[in-house]
Amino acid sequence: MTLRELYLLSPVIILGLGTIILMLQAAWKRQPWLAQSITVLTLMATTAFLIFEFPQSTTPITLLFEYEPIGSFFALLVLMASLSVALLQGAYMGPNSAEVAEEFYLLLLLSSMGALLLVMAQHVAGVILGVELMSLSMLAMLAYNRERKLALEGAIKYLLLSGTSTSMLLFGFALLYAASGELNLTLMLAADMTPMSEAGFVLVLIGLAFKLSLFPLHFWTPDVYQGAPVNSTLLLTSVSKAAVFAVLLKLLLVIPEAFEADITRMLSWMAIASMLLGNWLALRQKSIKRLMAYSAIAHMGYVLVAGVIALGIDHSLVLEGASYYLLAYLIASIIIFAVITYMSQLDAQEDLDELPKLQGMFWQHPWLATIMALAFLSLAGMPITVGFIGKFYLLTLAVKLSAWWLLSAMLVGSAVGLYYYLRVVFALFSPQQGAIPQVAGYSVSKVWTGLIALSLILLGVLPGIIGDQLKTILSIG
Amino acid sequence: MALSFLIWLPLIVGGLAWIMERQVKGSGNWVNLFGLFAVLIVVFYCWSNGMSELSWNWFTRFNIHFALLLDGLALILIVLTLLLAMLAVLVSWQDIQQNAGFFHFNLMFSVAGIVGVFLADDLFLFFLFWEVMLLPMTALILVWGHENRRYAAIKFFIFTQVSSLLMLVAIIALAILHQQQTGELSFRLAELQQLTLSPSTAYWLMLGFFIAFAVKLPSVPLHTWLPDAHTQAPTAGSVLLAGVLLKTGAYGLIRIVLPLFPAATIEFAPVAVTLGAISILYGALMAFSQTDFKRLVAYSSISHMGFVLLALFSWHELAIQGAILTLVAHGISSAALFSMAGMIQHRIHSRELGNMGGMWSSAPKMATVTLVFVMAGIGMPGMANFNGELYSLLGSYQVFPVQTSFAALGIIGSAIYGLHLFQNAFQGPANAEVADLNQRELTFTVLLVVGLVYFGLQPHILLDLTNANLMELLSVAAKVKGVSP
Repeated sequence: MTLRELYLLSPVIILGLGTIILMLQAAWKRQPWLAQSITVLTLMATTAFLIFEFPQSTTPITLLFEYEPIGSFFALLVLMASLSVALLQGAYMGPNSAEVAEEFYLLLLLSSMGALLLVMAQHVAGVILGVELMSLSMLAMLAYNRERKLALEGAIKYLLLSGTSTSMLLFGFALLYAASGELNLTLMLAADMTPMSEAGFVLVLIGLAFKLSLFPLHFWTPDVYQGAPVNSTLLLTSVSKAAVFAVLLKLLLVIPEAFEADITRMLSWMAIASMLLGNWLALRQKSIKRLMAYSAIAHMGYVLVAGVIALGIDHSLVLEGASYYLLAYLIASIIIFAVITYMSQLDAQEDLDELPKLQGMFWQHPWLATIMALAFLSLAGMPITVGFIGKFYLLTLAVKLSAWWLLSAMLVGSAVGLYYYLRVVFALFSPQQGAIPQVAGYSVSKVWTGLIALSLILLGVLPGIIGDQLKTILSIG
Repeated sequence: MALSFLIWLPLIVGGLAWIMERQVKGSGNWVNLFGLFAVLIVVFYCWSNGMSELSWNWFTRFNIHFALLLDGLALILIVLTLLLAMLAVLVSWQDIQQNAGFFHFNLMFSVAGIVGVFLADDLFLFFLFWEVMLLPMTALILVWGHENRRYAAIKFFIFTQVSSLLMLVAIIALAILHQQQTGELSFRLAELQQLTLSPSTAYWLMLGFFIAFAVKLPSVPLHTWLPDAHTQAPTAGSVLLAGVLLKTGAYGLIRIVLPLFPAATIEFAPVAVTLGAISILYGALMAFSQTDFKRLVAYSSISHMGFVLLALFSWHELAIQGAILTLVAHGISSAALFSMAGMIQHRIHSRELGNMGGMWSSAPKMATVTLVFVMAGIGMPGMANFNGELYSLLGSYQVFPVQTSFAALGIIGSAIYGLHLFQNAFQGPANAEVADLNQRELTFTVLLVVGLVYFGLQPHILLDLTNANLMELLSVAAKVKGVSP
């Protein structure tokens, strides 16, 4: 390992250092706000490094990892989500929580580190390392409040199913290795495809699709989302989705031509089914967390459209589209979960996410309700929000490649989606029912949420800010 | 530069009205009124040098521009929008008690969106405004609407949103076709007109746009959102909905569908014209069977907008002139009737014709102006609507005699439901005692009457302003038909 490689590994090293400091602090003196500050600073330092040293080309770091633009962009998305979780946790937990505070931040840093390793991986070992580190620490966060029965149930469910999916992933890689004799992702797929390696690749896809909760591997999503404390749900829906999607995209870009047609068919159906089913099942949900779970299924279906088309042509637009869409999705998710976090308590038996309880929120908390409504409109793809631009990218892709089936599913999905997003927005603006509590103070996290909300509008009104640069940022053609 | 102020200014004024209303109760009305007046001045300032344009780079990756264009047609509709928005402010002067500040903001927000639709010269921008104007309008219905507002708002939003998704796909497809033919994406209307489209592609794309606009217009069978939305909306909302929002559909047809796909529209014309004729008759029939004042006027809107559809798709000079006249005339007369409905509802808290009756004796002034508006709706010569409908029918008859003959029956229908409305509300035994029009109400109703009569006697003002648009359309059509205009 050269010094240069060590230097480029800094994001992971900084996160690791932060983790160690946090551990020492917890052993020395427990102090929630200190732990939070250390976490936020660590995450910010990592982000700063990534921004200042944003790669223009691919540099391998040892055998396992590489430092390259696409991964780094997704790493930034991951860090944005982690930072939000870290900032929100203080208010959510409150000063006198029954649970300990430091461990949450510790787990948060570890799972961010896992996600970063995952997006940087170029080797099977890197992928497995990243996935496991990310999922296992997330698992503990899903059941962070041990008094909540639903949270425990969800976490166990996640543990079992996630374990199964990881074993699928491992088995798939094993088959690919057996066929090609390589463990590097690109070389592994560059070898001649035999039925065995094809089976292996499909298994790998299944493993990844589980994390993305794509149909037919979506069954765990609603229960886990609903059960978990809302802040952990945010982590689950943002960090793990963004990181895993980066890996999926990288794999799809190097898939051998001979195997493309089959995979396209398989992924197309998965995408279509996810979009339709996710939107359909979300229709009657009353719990926002559950609704967001189904909406996540649908949205991952949308992004997968970009992945499917990646197999066709025009890689540049595909990468841009997928990146922008995920960015839009993350922004909206962060806002929605942040608003729920502001009104809920970790110690309570459940979060305040039932739709009837949120009725008339606009008249009590106009700002919170406004940004939440904007976030839902963004998910629905209304113009002047960032979600519309994301949708615009994907529709352009689909039209360009004349993928009419995908396009029809997208349109039907959006039409159905409109209804349930609108239901939430309407509930926010309907006459007031009862008083809605709100956690006071914590101005830093509010400023951060405000910034995210601002970016939701700004990137929607002036899409050029990022849209024009994406091509250079991702260093494509 | 000044052109873009037409969009920012209403937004700023709306925000200001929201803030002011919090400080001083009732001040929002004044802020909005003066704000709209200021916007009106800006419009005339922009128009003072004739057509004006503006184009800024906006989203370079897709070659999307922030491009605005103010020409005669846009000018007429924008001025109509602003005047009706003033009417909306005046008519709901005391109606809105709760959250008045937010109401004022929404009103101005929707004005900004509608003006944007009329100004946009880039299809992406057009789509953006098209969607954005829905949001405040939905909010107006949802928050300040009547008893069944939630249902009406959801229906309104979903109908327009879903149909516009098809339009979005068509827009993207056009841009990509442009890329295939010239190597560059483009969303500019003028550039897209240069495309050579195969007949079947043009037909499908045209349908994508047509459905979106037919929902807004609305044309049977895509009209079902309208009676609910118009009836449940607060008065100001109904005024804007009927007066201007429906016109955006017709505007889209004139501005986008006809010039972009002349051949396809000519092929599709028999269907569209038949739909128009059906809308006229169906709207009139349904209007007659209503007992709700606003619902009746809402159905009459469907009937009147049927004339526009009929006229536009017959591709005849007279007919298209008629369509433009009808747009303005119906804008004024339906907005006037909805404001009358609002005033009556404000007084007797009901829209049921059964609860009215004999109001002439207690409110003679109100009865007189309502009579004038009803007569205008019927199409009495001397009023603006008459010119529009006559031109539409005259022009269309030369191309589609059968459908037009049936459509002409709609005029009889409108006389029946119009008189039915007036008779039930104002004549017969006195059921309801109401206060007559006050000074404020009298002022704007008289102005509306003047407007109707003025454009009834001087239709050429509108026709002169839109002459350039018309000539352009006809030359496009001539190219397709292969004959000189």
